Amino acid sequence: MTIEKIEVEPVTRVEGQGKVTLNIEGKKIKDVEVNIIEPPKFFEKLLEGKPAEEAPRITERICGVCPVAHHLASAKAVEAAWDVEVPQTAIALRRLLLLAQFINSHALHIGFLSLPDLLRLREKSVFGLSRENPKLLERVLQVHSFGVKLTEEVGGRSIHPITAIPGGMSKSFDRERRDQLLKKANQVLESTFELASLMLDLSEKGGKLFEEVESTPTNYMSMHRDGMHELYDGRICVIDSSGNLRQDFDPSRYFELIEERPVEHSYVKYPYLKSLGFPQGTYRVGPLARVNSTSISAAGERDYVKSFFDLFGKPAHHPLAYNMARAAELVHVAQQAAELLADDEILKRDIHAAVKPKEGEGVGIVEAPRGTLIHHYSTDENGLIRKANLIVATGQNVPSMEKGLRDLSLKLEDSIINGDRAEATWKIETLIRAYDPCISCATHLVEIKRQDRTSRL
Amino acid sequence: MKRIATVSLMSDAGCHIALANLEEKLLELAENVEITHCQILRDEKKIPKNIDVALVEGAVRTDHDLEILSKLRDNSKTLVAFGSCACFGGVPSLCNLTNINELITYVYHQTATTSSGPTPSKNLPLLVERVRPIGELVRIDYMIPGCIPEEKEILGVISAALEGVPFELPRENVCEECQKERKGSLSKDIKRNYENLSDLSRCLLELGYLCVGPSTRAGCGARCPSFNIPCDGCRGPIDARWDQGVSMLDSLAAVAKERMRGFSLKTHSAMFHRYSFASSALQRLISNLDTRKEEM
Repeated sequence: MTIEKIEVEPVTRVEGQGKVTLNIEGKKIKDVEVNIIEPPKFFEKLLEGKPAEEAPRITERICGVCPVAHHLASAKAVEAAWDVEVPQTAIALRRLLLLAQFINSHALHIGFLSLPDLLRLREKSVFGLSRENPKLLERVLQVHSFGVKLTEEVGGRSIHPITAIPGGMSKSFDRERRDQLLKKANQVLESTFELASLMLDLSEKGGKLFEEVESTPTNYMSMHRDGMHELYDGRICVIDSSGNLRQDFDPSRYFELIEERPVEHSYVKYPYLKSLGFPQGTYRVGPLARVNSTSISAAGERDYVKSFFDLFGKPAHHPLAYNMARAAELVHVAQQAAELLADDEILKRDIHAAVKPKEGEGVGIVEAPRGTLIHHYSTDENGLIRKANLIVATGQNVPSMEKGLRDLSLKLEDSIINGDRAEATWKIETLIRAYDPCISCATHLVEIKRQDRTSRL
Repeated sequence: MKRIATVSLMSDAGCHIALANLEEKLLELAENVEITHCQILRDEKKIPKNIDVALVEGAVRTDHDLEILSKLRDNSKTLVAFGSCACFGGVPSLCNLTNINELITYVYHQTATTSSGPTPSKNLPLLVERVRPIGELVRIDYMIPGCIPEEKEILGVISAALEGVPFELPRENVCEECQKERKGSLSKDIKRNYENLSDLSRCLLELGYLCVGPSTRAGCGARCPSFNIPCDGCRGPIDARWDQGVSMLDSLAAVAKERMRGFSLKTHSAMFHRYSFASSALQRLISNLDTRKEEM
């Protein structure tokens, strides 16, 4: 019996280093693995002994794609450990900063990573999009650059922001900058309508690919506030695959409910709900989970959320539906950003509360573009970090992604073994990309090989 | 048409996001050069041959990183260390303080939410002992520091590398660009970044914040201080061959001594290494510096 290994390496148009291994025995696919080969970065250990107030600027180096989410989850964790009450204006500015991150991250994914597949461009890249549909790319870039600009204006820097410090924000926002951004926000909104409509249309016409990729019913986890879509501060809910509420907990209790299991073939750990065990307790996070488990408004030329559920059912389980949920959510966050920019609360000067470090323990959770992000620190009496634990968005989706890939690969078995591997590879990667995996994030820590197998340079 | 390739070794992909954020400027670039390999933007999987300019984001953490880096070096006329991880190791290299066994044990057995399971060992790259900047392993022709690098330097170094002309980085420190007022009077206390956020028109170091601006290369317009946040040194040392932390100690000493002028390495050795210079890390650094000078 011959054993063959087919590797799709690296998976392209995703952030970070990953590959897919298909183990073939005879003429059958025996197993499919997602190998997250991006090495661990050991941030949990690296943080020890550091002044906790520096953590928001250190931990955002886990991810260059969603640094704002790390920056804010980290600040919140420190504030929880030190019992700090943040002023309303600072909270409003942080919300705006997080919305800015969602806008640029979602637009980047739609334009650079996902549309080239869904439009089946001849050259599947942003360069192909630029040649084949420059008008559409212009829309994408308008939204994207607004998100980048807003991040820079509120966060101080376009990629790794700096303004969230324990107690609030380091600099207040001025009216002039606000007025300019507000004008832009309303134009951007129109473009998000167009992108959301297009994404929904593409899934209607998606045809074969949407049939070949199977639905993956799972549990879903998301932050919420009284059942409503919430990104910055709320409780965490879990619904099951029928849409029933299974858990609803305060962020500070996350470690009683979630565990992560190391696996042999990946540098990420596989999270699951403790109560259900592994693998029954695997769940998904991110745009699909948020749309499924919270109530979200996203209406422009039409009601994008309603259209979404008409297409995919509720809860929606189809992995490719992540793309459409992301587009509907883009409308929502752009609307929220426009509303918040119009609110004079963000111009007030009361942006920072007194802070006193102490021995303590705190959990900070926010929704990152790719899903629920958890930072958890304990500090000593000087405010230095004693211990840290982090659970990032992408890791939580990997087990379900892998299961979906297994199903898809079996369907494509004939062409993978005897036929057009390029086409099969594209389908496999399109499925992965739907999750918008951020592999850099996913390996902020995780475990590595036995020491005796560690190579030396 | 000239050919550019970009790769990401161990990193947070932020430098590549900075490339994407160039938007129209990236599209313009792509009209004039062939971007043959760029994992985040294009589907080309293999490292191509005959590359004119290679941009490397990230530091080396695995045998896979090293393999990619070596191949890229072999196939490229010029190679650019792109961002502070490639140049200096970056934030992830702080874990080099801890023995790798301890890192493994902690993360594998001891974090709050980890349950028991196998050790990853299948179809994965091997980890190397410590995080290393790429210049320790291959020759680099250009570097732009920063976490994230400045847009003007990204575009500048690409065009310089394509033309084969030198690319000059600023030789002064962040303070030279900083708009904060310096009065020469100093706080008696060291402050932390959440303290006393009033009167921040003053130099943050003079106010007692540990601002690393004095030992950090300019070029960012002192962006962090302009948002009332001390510089954390993301652009690395002013002379890339020197030690940023040692420079900072000297700057602090100069400040503590009421701006003692001319505090140099010779002063430093007398004040901080008077009895142990030969066995100091500094001694090793200087040996490296001498060797590297000879190479240059």
